[in-house]
Amino acid sequence: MLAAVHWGTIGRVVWVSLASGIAAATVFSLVVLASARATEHRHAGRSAVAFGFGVLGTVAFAVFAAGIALGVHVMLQK
Amino acid sequence: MADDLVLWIVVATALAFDFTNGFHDTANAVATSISTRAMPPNLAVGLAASLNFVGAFLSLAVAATIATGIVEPDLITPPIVFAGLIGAIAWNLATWYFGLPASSSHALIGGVVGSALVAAGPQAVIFSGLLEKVIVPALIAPVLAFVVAGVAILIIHRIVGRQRPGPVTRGFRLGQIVSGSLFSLSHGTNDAQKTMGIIFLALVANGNLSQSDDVPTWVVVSAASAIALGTYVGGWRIIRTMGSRIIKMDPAQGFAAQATGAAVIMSASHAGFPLSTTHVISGAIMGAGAGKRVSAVRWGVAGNIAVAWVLTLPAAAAVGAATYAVVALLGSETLGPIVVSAVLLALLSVALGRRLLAGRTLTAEG
Repeated sequence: MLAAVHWGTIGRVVWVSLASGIAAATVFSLVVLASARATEHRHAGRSAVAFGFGVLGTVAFAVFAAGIALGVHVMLQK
Repeated sequence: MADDLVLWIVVATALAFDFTNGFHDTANAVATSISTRAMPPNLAVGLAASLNFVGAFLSLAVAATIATGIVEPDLITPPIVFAGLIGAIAWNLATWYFGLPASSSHALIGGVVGSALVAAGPQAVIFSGLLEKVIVPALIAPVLAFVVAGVAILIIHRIVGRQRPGPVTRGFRLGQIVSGSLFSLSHGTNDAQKTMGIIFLALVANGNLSQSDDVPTWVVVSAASAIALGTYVGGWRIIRTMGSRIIKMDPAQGFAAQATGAAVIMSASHAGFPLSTTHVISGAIMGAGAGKRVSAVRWGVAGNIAVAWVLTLPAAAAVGAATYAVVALLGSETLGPIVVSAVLLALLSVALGRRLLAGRTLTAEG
C-alpha cells in the first residue's frame, strides 16, 4: 500500500517549503533590520551608514516582493 | 426530475459545507494577525474573505485530485455524497463549538468514506488513496510546518534580536499583513476547490458530467462565494484558540507562522497535493512558539487539537455512515435526502430561533 504514495511529490513539497519558508523569513528580517538601523543612524547624523542600510533594506524588500510575485505566479500557472 | 432534485439538494449541502469550511478556517488566516494587533478583527476577516474568493479562481489542481482516488467514482451516488457532506458539516460544527481547529478537508473525506462504506461496502473505498491523500499528508503537514516555522523564528531572532522592540514590532506587523494576505489567497486556492471537487463528483454520479470534463464555471463561482461568505462571518471560537491559547504570540512569531504556513500550502497546492491548511498553520504556530522557548507552547491545548485531528476521519465517517443508513431506511434514494435535509433545516431553524429569542447574534462568534 505504501507504494501508492507519491514520495517524490512529497519530497518536493518538503524541500520547496523549507527553502521558501526560511528564505521569506530571512529576507523580511533583513528588511526590518535595515529599516531600523537606517533610522537610528540617520537620527545620529551618520548619513553614509544610514544610506547603506537604506540600500540593503530596499534590496531585501525587492527580493521579498519578488518572492511573493513568484508565489502568486506559481498559483496562476496551475 | 426527482434525481435532479436530489442533485440540487446535494449541491446546496456542498455549499453549506463550504460555508462551514470558510468560517471554521477563518482562524487559519487571521488568528495571528488579530492576536498581534497587526490588523483590526473586522478588517482582517474582510480581507481574508476577499482573498479567499479570488484564490478560488486561481487553481483547479486540487479540485481534480480530491474527487478521485479515495472512493470509486462508479459506485458513488448523490445520496452517498449527501450523507458524507452531513458528516463533514456535523464535525465542523462540533469542533467549532469546542474551539478546536480541525481539518475540514479530512472531515469531508471521512464523511464520504463512511457513507460509501455503508452504501457499497469496502470495495467503494480506495484505501491506498486514503493513505496517500489523508493519512500521510496529516502526518507530514504539521511536522513540516512546525520545523520550518521553528527554524524561521530562530533566524528572525538571530537577525533582529538585538534591535529596539518598537521598530521590529511595527515591521513584523506590516509583514503579517502581507503574509496573512498571501495565506488567505493560498487558502482559497486549496480549500474552495475541495467543494468544487465534491460537487463535480455529484454531477458525475448523476450523469451530468464525465470524469474527463472540466469543472463548470458556476461550480467555481458558487464555491468561491460560499467560502468567502463563511470566512467573513468568522469562527471566533477557533480564532481565540489559535491566536492566543496555543502560544502568546508576538508579531515576529505571527509573521514566521503565517509566512512559513503560506510557503508550505503554496508548495503543496502547486503539486496538486491536498494538504490541510489547518494542520499547516497549527503546526507553524506551535513551531514559532517552540523555536523561541519550548515551554512557551501550551502543550495541553496542542494535545487537545491533536486528538481532534485523530478523531476527525472516524467521527465524520460515523456521522456520514449513520446519515446514509437513515436515508436507506426511508427506502428510496430520492425520499431519503429530502426528508433528512428537511429535518436538519427544521432543527437549524429551531436553534437559530432560540438564539434570537435569547438576544444573541447569528454570527459564528457565539
